[in-house]
Amino acid sequence: MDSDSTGDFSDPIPTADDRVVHGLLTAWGDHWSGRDAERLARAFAAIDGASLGGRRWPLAARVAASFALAASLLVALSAFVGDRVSAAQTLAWLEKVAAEPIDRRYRFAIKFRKPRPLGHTEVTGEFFVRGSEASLQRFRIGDDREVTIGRVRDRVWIMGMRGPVIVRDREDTPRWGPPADDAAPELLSVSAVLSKVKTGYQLEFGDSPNARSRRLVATSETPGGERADSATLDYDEATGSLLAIELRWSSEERPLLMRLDWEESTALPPDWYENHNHHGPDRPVIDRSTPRPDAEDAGPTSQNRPNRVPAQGCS
Amino acid sequence: MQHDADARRLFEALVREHAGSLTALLVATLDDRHAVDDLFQETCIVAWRKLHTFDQSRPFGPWFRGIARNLVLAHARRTRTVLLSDQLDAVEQRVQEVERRPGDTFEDKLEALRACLDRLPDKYRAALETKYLHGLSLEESAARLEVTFEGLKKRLLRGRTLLRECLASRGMLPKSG
Repeated sequence: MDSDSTGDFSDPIPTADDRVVHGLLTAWGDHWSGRDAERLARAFAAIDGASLGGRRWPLAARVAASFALAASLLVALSAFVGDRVSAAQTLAWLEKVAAEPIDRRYRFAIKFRKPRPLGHTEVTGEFFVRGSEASLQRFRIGDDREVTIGRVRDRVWIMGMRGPVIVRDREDTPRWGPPADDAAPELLSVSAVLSKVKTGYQLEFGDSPNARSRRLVATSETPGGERADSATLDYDEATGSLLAIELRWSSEERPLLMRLDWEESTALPPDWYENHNHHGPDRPVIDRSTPRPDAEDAGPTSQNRPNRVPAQGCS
Repeated sequence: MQHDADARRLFEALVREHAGSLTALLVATLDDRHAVDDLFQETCIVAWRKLHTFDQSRPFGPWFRGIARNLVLAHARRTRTVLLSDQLDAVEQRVQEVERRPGDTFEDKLEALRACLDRLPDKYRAALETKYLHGLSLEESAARLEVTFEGLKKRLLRGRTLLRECLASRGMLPKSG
């Protein structure tokens, strides 16, 4: 039984109303986590791969599904002319560069619309990313709480200053609870941020912030949701390396803004992003991830691991 | 060829628009997230193949989920799961009620859900958000919230009940007798 299913409840969900509440909550969570987007992408890919007998749509249906839909399609078609083509191409280029296995270090700041439960309205920290393979964010809340969240390929680990390190499958986007929910899921992967603004956003070039860099601005066609209303991407004109990213939301559910500023590109040890490099050997590790056949120590068990590489930044 | 491309584009737009309600229906009737993913995909494939049978004078959502309904029942027969068609229809009826609410997207229609969540006492809201929004397992959620496993389950049960009552008061679900 899948651990995320209703099956892990001892309480039954007997009535239709209860079932629908459960379904709505799950759909909402899936949307927030991006799992719905992945599900859709798989479905459309499966359609492409399936045998498509008798799939023609009547002409009337093609032209009259809905007025709003037609209007949105016109907007979508207009995105393929002029400047927007090159903006889309630029975004594809940035995505490709961001996916290269180079270690980059950024400073990040998340500003909240209203005070968080501990009274703070801003979280700052450092963010390391190695292409699309791995990332690590470390931030402090107040004077005595530090949270570190790492991702290595399809696994995410989370730890506070005390307690166990939780490891689990990434499943596209982060899954965490208090106190780590002060972070933004966008920090788990810069590539994911770039991928998300490819659809549902209007792309255009903005005023260049300086002589060496250029700016690409993505504006959501449906602001006010979980995804950012706008994404401002400053990049090195010569290399395509992202120098700054600023995301802004208007949704009450999300922060006011999140900003990343590039500090340096470097080369960290190959396994630097693994959790054992960032805590002592006595720290319990609860591994909830799916065992991988190519990793001897990937079993879903709690275990302690030696601290093989000192936990430190790369500055 | 262009017609096919247009049809595909329209189809994808419609599916995106109704993906949330389809997910809600599947999750509400299946206890297995893998089955949800599989049947979501299968529904899309069948819908695309049967698109020529779709009556464009009628809403797309019920037709789309009608395909899912048949697939869910077939899945239940295959896996020997007890699932009555009446249960399925009752769930579909409520999903339709949600869909009828104002708003352009399914997410817009979930505004009432968010508003109700915000009004829940902290301990229930935190339990529901940790489970559904952050996707943690029950064990992880209990550890994070510093409650016992049983305590967490009670909070989830109570939280869903309060949420259902709130949604009913906002006309999103029928008021329970």
